[in-house]
Amino acid sequence: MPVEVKGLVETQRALKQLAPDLYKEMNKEIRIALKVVVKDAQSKVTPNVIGLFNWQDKGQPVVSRTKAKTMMAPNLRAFPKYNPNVIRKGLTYSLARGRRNSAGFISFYRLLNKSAAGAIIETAGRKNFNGDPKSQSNNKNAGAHFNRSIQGTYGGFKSIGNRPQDRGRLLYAAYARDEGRVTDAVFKAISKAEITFRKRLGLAA
Amino acid sequence: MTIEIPIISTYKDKGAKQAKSSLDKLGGTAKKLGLALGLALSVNKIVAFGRTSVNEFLASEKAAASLQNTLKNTGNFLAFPDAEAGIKNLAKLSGIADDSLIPLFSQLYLATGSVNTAMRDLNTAIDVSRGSSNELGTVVDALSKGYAGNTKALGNLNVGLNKAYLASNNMVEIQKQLNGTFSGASAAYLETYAGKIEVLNNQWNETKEIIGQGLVITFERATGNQGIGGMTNAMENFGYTLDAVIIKFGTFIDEAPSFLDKLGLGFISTILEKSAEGWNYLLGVDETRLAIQNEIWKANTKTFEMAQKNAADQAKRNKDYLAFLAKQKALSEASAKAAAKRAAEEKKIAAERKMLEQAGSIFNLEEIQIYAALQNKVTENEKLRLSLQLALVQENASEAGRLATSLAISQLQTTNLAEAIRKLPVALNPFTGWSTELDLILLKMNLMNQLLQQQTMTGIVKAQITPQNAAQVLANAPIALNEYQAIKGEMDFLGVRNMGSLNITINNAGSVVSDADLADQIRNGLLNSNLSGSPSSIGRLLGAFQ
Repeated sequence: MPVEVKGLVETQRALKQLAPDLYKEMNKEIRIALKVVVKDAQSKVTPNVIGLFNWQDKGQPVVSRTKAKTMMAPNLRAFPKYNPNVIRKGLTYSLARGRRNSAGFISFYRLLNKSAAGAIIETAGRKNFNGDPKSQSNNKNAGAHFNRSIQGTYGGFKSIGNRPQDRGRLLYAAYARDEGRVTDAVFKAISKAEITFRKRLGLAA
Repeated sequence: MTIEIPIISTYKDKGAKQAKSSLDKLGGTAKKLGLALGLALSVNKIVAFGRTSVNEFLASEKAAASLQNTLKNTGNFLAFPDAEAGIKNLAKLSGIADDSLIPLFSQLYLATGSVNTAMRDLNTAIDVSRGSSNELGTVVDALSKGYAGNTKALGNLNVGLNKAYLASNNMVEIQKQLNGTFSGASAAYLETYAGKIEVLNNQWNETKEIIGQGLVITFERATGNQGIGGMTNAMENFGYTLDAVIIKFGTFIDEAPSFLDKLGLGFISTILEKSAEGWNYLLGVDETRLAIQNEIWKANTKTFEMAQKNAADQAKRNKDYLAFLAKQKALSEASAKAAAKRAAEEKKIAAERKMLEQAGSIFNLEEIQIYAALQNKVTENEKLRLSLQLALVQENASEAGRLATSLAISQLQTTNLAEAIRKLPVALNPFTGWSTELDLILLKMNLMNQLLQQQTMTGIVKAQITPQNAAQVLANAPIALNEYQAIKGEMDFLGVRNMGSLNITINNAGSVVSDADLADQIRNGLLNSNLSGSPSSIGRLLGAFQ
């Protein structure tokens, strides 16, 4: 789970202005640490999902079957197809400062699962694994079948926190397998840069 | 939808601060609005109270003036003070406002023509009213009409006076009857809660009258000759002043202690704690003030101490930094000074060494001798030699090299050989190809040596081989061993086994009479066998043909 630190904004600012080489070095080390998790997640993306043949991206244009374009919503997207290349590309990281969330926290270093299909692999069945009990669909078992197929290919959820939404199959699982090494590495990089910076200024470390 | 896992986050309170600031502003605005509204409402209330008081006073004054005028007109002006005092007393006892009683009293007075009778009848009317469900005004009206001979109204009161009784009795009897029926009703009513409230209300109205009277007098004095407008302004100002005091007190007790504690404003909490004690707050003003001052003092002391500590820390840091800079400067200066000193010493040592060398060179005998020799008449060649010797003595390598070359050229020129040698063609290397020739020679020698060794080994085998040492001899003779292994292979192939010792006795008979004959016979047999297709093989070690 994310770790809250205080003074990172100031540290980053000071490094960027006064020691850009240290700032670059720190970011380089952080990138290396983040890449480990991203590569692990990317390596788990399978070419297809067993049992979901029609979900596979066959290169044909996809049109939404449930919604029509309107003046208010001209860019409605269809349900995304499963394309492993797109999913792998969507698994990435960011060192850019994020937006403030509703609780007032800003994340500095993030692991991202950007693609829609990747997000589906990550979270499908997290709320209702056996399908929505209130489903009005003609095929009420479709959801359960979908979830089970993904589960069969990618395995179960891995948790990185105590909340139900802290579970996932791809990026979350990679982060769980990492067992906090990435956080530790990021901290070490920051700490190293800070100590070096202090030494350079002639201050006590 | 992007799923993200934040690795490191930080809390940014900018939004929260803005929200808090907005809320504070809103609260402040609301407070101000409430204050303004409260002020306005309070002022209105006070103004209304003042107005009511003045109205009460004016109504009372009007009633009193009316009674006074009535008594004056009826020739009983002197009875007015007693009548007014009696009415006010009755008002206190009955809980009915005097300005209500005065008109009723006037009505009864006009009907009876006597102040005492009117006062007595008013008492009776009050009892009847309280004892029945009739309004006081209705009862008084009925009594007044009864004095005029109209008893119908009395009958309508439903107080037990039928038509026959009313027709057969006068008002004195009727009064006696009513007193007998309703005497003490008013006193009994006033014993009740409602009665007491009524008395209090009446008394409050009386108080308002008094206040109104006082206000009118006061505002008259305050405004002088500004008339009723100035009086109104004076009343409003009075209301604002009074209201400000009330609002400030209310503001104190409305503050939330916990919120203030969080902000570190403990003294306000003290105020609130004290204000919660109600009147104790007012009674304990001194104690509270001391407590507040104590809290303020503590807060100030804490702030002051923290500021002092921070200033001391900062001063210490500054001092340390200055000391560090001074130390660095001193170290730099010392280093520069030491470097300069070292350079000066090295320069001095170099100069001294040079001087010593110069002095020492005076006593260098070799050089002296060479210099002396150079002073003499010498040939160019000898001069070069001496110069070269001098350069060697002085360890001047470059000069020595140059002089050596010059000397060599000079020597060659001296013997006229230099030019001849220069013109000679490049001599062939007599040793070209020697390496190959030597290698061939060595190879042949090695081959000869191997042949000699083989001959030696064969001789040994022939001389010393026995069944016991055959294996050892073969092991030391690789060529023989190869032969042996070839023969053995052939024997194994042909199925020849060790036959043990074989003795052959040959008896010369027939044409074979000598060894030569035997050899011929055997040769012929072998040839015949070969011609017939049976190859013969020789077992050299066994010494036999097969």
